Amino acid sequence: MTAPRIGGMLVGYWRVCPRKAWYSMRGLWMEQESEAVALGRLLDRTSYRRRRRPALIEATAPDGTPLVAKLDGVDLRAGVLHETKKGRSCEDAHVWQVRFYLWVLRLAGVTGPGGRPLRGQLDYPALRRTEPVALELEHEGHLAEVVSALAACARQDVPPERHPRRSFCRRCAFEALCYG
Amino acid sequence: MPRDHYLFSNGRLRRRQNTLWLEKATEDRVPGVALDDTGAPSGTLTGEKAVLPVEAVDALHCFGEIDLNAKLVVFLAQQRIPVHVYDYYGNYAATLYPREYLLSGRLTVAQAEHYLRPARRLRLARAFVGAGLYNIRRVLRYHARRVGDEAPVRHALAVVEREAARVPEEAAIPELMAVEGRARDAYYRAWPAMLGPRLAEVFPFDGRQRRPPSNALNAAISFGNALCYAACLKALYRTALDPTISYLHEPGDRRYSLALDLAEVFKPLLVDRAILRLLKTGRLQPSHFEGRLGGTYLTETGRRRFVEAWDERLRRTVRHRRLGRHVSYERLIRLDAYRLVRHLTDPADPYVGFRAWW
Repeated sequence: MTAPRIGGMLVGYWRVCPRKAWYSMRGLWMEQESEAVALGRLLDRTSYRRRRRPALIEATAPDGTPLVAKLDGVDLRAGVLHETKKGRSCEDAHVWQVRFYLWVLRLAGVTGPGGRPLRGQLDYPALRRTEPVALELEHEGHLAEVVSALAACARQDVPPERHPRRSFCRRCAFEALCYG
Repeated sequence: MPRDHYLFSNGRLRRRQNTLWLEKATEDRVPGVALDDTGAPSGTLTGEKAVLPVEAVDALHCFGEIDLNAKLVVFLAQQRIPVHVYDYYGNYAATLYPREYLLSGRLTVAQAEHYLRPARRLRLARAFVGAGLYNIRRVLRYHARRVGDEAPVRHALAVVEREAARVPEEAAIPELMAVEGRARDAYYRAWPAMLGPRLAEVFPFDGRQRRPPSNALNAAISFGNALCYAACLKALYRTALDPTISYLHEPGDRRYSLALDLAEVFKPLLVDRAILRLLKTGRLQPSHFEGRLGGTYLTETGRRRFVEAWDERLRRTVRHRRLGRHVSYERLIRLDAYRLVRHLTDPADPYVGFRAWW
């Protein structure tokens, strides 16, 4: 199977659980009934409606994998890329998702005012908190690795192992598919 | 949580203010009298309405004569609500199956691959029969402890066990079907004993007869199996599995055959136990059955009672061993569909079919 275009959600999934990313790349979604995901989507739709400018950016990874960034909202004037999240569970995945977007923007040559790279920000409207996210050089190397690993994972016939920590799966929408 | 809704009255189902309205109508048909064939809606509207909040509907079952229009069909499809239609006698007739919304081309290919390769197909067919027979044994064992005359039940149990032992040996689907047929025959013959002498007299049983059901027990089994099929089909609709590619049953033979495969596993647990309970508690009486067109069918009251018990059963929960939390009987069907997905994507994780442990 040729590698699909890799997006920010898949990078986030990969950080959380490669098996989930594999299922998702196969078109096996489990979040259509998840209340948490539905709430997150609602929050995304209803928050920051004034400054919201969704955008879709495409780029190619160094190893040739096509990348796509579906951005929640970009504030071009201030040079800030926003990503809305409901809560802080899986924050590591959220941070990497934003770094991935910043990376795609850089690869696509998109810059903020004055040619400076865009800054990233995680918005937690429900928590009334924001979190800055920066893209460092070593992050780019890791992102390139993750993208290669995802492309290889997509070619794999069988799903990766389940998450090593069963307790972690408790709140995952894919739990029924992995353990049911 | 959205759930199934069962519409017994006649009438017109409408999309109104983005929800579902049922405008009820009178019953104009008389049993045995030919259908009004003018194309006009049957019955006259009574002015009585029932509102079904669309978010709370998981699937609809139409037992009455329901008129609907394309606007409603589009709405139901948008809301991903399958509609099961039953004929005047309560036989399953059709499903308004909305456009698939969970598609995985790779999974469909894997499903077809497992059908085309005899060894893989057989493995799955065995799992369906094996689990079905296991669950039949559970029903027999459960009732063996609760009847006066255990001998016939014990005998049936021995036959089912003998046949179940042949499941891993049979090398072709028709033989597997025959194994299942013989086991079921022995199982059904034990029903009078499981019901006890008093009920066996009221509900005589001479083995399974379909099309038309020859007596009350057969009518109840047929009706329950139709409900079970609809429940399995709905479970499949909520997954990326293609309901037409099946393993034990021939694909597309009749209906959505993968739902028939799944129903094989769940019929003993859901249908048979529901019937035995309905009869033993007296919720279903001989008066809830009637003879029509040379067969026996549930009356409308009988169907209502059955559906009530069925719905209660589907929503009853049990602690799931692997998940470590309570899940409803209905959810067990979906979990089995997921296990099938796992089997199709990962040969190291085989589908064995749900086995009741109680």
